[in-house]
Amino acid sequence: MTNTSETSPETSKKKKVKKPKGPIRTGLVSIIVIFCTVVFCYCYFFLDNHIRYVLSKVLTNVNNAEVDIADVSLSFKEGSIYIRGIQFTNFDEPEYNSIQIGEIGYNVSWDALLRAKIVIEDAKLLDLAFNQKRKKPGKIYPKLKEEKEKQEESKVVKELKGDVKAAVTKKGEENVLGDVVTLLQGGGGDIKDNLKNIKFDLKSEQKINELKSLVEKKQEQWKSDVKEIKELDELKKVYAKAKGIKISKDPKTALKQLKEFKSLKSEADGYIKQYKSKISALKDDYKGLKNEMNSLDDLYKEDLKALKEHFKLPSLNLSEMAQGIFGSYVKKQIAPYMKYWYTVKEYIPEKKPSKEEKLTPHQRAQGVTYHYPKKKGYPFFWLKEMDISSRSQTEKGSADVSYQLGGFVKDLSSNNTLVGRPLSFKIAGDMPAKKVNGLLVEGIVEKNEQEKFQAKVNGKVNSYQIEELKLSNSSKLKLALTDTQAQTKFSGVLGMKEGDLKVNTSFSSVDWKIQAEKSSVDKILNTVFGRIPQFTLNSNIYGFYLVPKIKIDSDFDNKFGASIKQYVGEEVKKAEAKLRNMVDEKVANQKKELFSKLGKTEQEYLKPLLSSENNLQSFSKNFSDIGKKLEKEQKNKVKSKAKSAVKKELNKLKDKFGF
Amino acid sequence: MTFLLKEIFKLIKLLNSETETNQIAMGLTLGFILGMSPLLSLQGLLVLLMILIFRIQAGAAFIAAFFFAFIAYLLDPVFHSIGKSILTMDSLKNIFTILYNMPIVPFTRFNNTIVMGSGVVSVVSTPFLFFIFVFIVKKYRVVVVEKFQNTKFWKAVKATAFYKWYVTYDQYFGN
Repeated sequence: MTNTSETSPETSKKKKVKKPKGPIRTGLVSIIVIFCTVVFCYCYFFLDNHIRYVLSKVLTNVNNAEVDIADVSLSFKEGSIYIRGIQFTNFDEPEYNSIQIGEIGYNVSWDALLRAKIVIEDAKLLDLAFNQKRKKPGKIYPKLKEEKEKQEESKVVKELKGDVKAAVTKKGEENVLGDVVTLLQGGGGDIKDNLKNIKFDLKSEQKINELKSLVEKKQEQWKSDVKEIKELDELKKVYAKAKGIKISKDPKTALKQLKEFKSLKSEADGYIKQYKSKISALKDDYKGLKNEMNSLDDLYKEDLKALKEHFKLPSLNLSEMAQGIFGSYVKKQIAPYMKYWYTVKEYIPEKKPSKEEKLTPHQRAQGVTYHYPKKKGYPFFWLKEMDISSRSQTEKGSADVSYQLGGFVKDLSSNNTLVGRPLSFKIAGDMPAKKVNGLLVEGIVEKNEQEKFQAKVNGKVNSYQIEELKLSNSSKLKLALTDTQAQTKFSGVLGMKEGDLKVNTSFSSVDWKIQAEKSSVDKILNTVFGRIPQFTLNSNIYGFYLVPKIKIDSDFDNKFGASIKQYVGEEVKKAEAKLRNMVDEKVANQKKELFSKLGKTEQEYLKPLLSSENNLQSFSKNFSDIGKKLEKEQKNKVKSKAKSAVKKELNKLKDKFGF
Repeated sequence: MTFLLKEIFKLIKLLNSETETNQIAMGLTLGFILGMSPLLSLQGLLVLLMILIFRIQAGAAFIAAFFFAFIAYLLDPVFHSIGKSILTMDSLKNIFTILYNMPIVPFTRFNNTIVMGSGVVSVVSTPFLFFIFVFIVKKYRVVVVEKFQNTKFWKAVKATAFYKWYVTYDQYFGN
């Protein structure tokens, strides 16, 4: 006891001396280590599960129906995330999944991430399936569904839908086949025999009436003008006065007389000018009327055309039969896909100015930053490769495959120039349930010469079956193509706003379904279409995506035309002749009357004017002759008077000097 | 903020004690590097990590960083010309190209003239500055602290009960 209580002061001092601290703040470091360990443990044990839970909740909210996720695996080391077993419950049918994905995920390159770039080395979208039956029905949340649906339907889709619908309705129900049937039913039998019985204003008739009233109106004016021009009273009076002037011997009087003549001449010139302008105005009126009469021919043609339309008289252009019949079909097939590209291209970045990799200084707010040549550069975003596969059974557990598709997307990047390859894609597969075999769509997206993005696509469907394709659905004729085998190849270029796609489709083993109003027509059409068991369609779809133009070239035209011409050609001619006769009947008499009136005008007014014109010319000449004569007389008289005066003075001088 | 204030008070205390001269000098030196380099650069974060992990006087470092940041602002034209001459040296172009193409390294912004100039100046002057700061701290303790402790005012303060209470408190709870 004593030993323990008797501790020396040196020992107690030693106890108080603190242990020297090391160079590292162990307390702080241990806190950091503990924190990192906790974070690591959380990531290792719980993070995947929590991501799965949150993702499932968010997607359920978006889908308005239960979304299940089987597994999420996240790896920081690999830079990857893979989600497996995603099932989107179908809102309308909760026992089914609207979309089902076997595996989706990607792994990013750490090398690129450390350069602040996102490079996806490998991405997967596998076992994509639609409308698959669930093990048990999923929960649905109907609250906001209606509102969301309204928002989702974009304007573009609406426009496109409307466009296609309108085109299909219009073209599908009434096309050139309707005209053919009309002809077969009796070649424009609706044309009434008497045009007077229908209310239809003929343009040519209207014009004739206008011209007639104009001629009548003008005739009165012409009559007074012509009378005035014919008589030339004023001019004759002036002429008589001028003719009566005789030059006096007295020079002063002679000068006065000349002045008087000049004023008479200018008065006569005024009259001549006035008459001449009246003559030319009359001639112009006549010329104008004649031109108007000539335009009557054009109006006559217009009237015939309008009447053809009024009576729905078909103009049978067999070279464009396929365009009329299959135009709506091609539009219906292609337009939806054009819409997808129109939507996708919105997200394709526009051209960015290329940066030259030179040692060029870049001025900054502080200092200057130098850029060195990039030997290993990544674009900001680069999806190197994404595998896509989709397979579906007709029924769960069944061996029958509904469809089986696979493909890839390669080099989806924010800067394909840096990658050195364009974005490429390919989808291939079969859809046995829909009898579609050998489906292939592939293409690339790259910049064209104007540095604008464009997609070059091509593809084919080796064979597919068309169960029913309605080509005409009018009251006169119902025509459809049933149980037909088809084969399609397509290729084209899709730009930012416009595209140019060529589609070649071959139809074989065609079974035509025809139902016409009249049995006779039905019989003819069955014979005609029976001769066309196969044909090809070469379509060219080009222009602006939302309103594409379609040009169709097909051997159907020739095949159909050759058969149908014998039935309908004569009927068209007959109907046209009938219309022409009717128009002639109504217009011809009036036209004749107008022409005769104009002819009379020429006889009565224009021809006499020619002699008046000659008179005016002779008057003008006479005046100048009189003027010349008077001037000459005046000169001669002055001369002779001067001579006699000189002679008189000379005699006086002789007498004075005694000669 | 608490950590920062605590470290500044500690600095005052240490300056007036006779220990930890090297810690204060190293803190001031690293503060010099921090102050010279622009904020949010990778090397700045590295220096900050060193201050936190190693037993370096953080208060000294932060005060020095704050103080030298003003000086660095005035010296920017000098750093710019030094950085520019280094970055445009043909002999170093290959090294810079390699560094530029390496991951992470470009985040240091070494290719900026001011970052390069200030970095080189601070790294080169670090050893000299360390010894200068050691000398200054020691000199401060001799010239300022000793003289202050001999003043009547300080002796009067030491005689107060409050001071005695503070000393006792510091023995038990101070670091």
